[in-house]
Amino acid sequence: MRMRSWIISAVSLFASLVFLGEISRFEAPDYFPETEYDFNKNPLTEEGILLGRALFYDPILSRDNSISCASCHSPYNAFAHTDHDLSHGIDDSIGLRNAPALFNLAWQKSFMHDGAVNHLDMQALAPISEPSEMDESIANVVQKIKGTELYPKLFKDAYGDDEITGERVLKALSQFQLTLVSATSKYDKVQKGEAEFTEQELSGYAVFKTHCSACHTEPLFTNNEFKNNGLPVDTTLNDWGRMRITNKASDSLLFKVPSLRNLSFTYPYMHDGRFRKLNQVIKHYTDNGIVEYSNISKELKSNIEISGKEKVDLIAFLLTLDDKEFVFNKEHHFPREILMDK
Amino acid sequence: MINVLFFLLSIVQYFSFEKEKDFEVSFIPVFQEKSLELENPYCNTKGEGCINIEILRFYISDVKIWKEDVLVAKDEITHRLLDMDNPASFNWDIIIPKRSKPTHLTFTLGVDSLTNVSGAQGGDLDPTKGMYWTWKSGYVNFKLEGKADDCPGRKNKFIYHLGGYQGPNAGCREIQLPIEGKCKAEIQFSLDEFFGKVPPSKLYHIMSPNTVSSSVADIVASIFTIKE
Repeated sequence: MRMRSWIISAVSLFASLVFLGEISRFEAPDYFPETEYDFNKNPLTEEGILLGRALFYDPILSRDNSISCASCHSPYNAFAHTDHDLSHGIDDSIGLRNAPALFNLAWQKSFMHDGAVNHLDMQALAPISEPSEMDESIANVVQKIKGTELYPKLFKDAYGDDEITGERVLKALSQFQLTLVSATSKYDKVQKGEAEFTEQELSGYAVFKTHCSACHTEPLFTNNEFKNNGLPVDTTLNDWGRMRITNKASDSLLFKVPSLRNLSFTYPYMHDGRFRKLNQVIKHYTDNGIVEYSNISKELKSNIEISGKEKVDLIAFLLTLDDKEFVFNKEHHFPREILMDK
Repeated sequence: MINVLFFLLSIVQYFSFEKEKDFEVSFIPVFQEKSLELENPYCNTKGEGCINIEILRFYISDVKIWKEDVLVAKDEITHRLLDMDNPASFNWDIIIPKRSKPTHLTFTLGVDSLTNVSGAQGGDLDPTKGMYWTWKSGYVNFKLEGKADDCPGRKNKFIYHLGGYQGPNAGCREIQLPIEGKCKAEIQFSLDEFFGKVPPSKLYHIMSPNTVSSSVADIVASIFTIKE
């Protein structure tokens, strides 16, 4: 009998060695849909996630080693950039758009406010090469990384050898970003039967379902589509949204519908960060703020009519989407143990 | 006796274990009837100025060899980056059955749409190769850059970056060339013909997928021929 349990232990140990490194760090509740990201092409491992986390926080990705991904995607702001309407970049340059929050990326079909990027793996190429962001090239990033003491070891741990390529850099960044799952807000706890909404939150939830959920669809609170939400054009930017990518007039001023999760951490709002407060956002939709463009989202062809109380209740509900466990999860934060010694 | 031995030897050779052979594929860019050289001024005899090519780099994918409508062999590497800075990238072999008699060869100029939406990839598709657009996803299928005396662009530079994988302006092109009776495929493409149809004096910047880039992709696809 003892011999049998010894054999079972040995077999288990062998099996765990065979699958060394491959892990199930990616966890999502059962009420979330299927992911868009194909994990078979980039299986998550502890070592791959750690490498990606180091790269995410390392300014080596920028031309003068001054700007990291985290410069505009702070973990304490649900990986957005609070207080800045437009992204900041190298040499104190200012970008065109508000840095979006980063979470639940495995469910996104496209990336950037205009959907310019078609895959999470390729997203980092845009800020790395953008002159007003990191102003670097992926080829040079690879060369710089090869010259460090730290990274060949991290690549060896993650990939089995110390070869450093653009593909591996990008996939490691994806690995870390895929672990940024926000699914532990009060809303989620209610879904799991671990908490209950207050009366006010329930009232706000009803308002939300009537007026907001067509675009900000549960449980991700975005339908991942592009919409014209009737914002007047900021003539200092002249940002025409998705039309820049497709060259179609019908895509003029279409921007990706953002998730409503973690709103307390991700202000200011909208693609150009024009609204600092949730009240201002709601006012845009309810108080004649919508410009009647020909391609306006059909849900916004007329103002949303809700009472003052309903507005307050709606905000109360939206705040149940704040996910403090996610925001303060140390596994997502600066990898002090690696980068401080670098 | 000698005849019998010769006969037996022929039979052995016919049924020899070597059932495959290499079929050589090479791409040969030519300008003014000579193999193209980078950084070399090609001057017009009419005195209209010179053209100097600095970068020529493009993807050839999915090379297949056919006998009529039967697939004989396909390249084991699906996507190849042909780069004038790496001349070896213009020549390779495909293994074909020894006794096959191919009639034609097909390939794709560029990278197919499925590959374009499949995330980070290695080898010739690694984004470090400088053939991936960063402001908008997608591979650049074909890059040709240089200077022409009569080009009105800044510092007389012309830049043709052809790409895009979606919709009517997708930049991939399927090409079929006859190779009947040939033991190798020497695929020429004439830059004279290209510049005859796309003069840098009139069109000198293409850096995004649109109707113009799509038309130029058609022109590029039309200049590939089998060397006689």
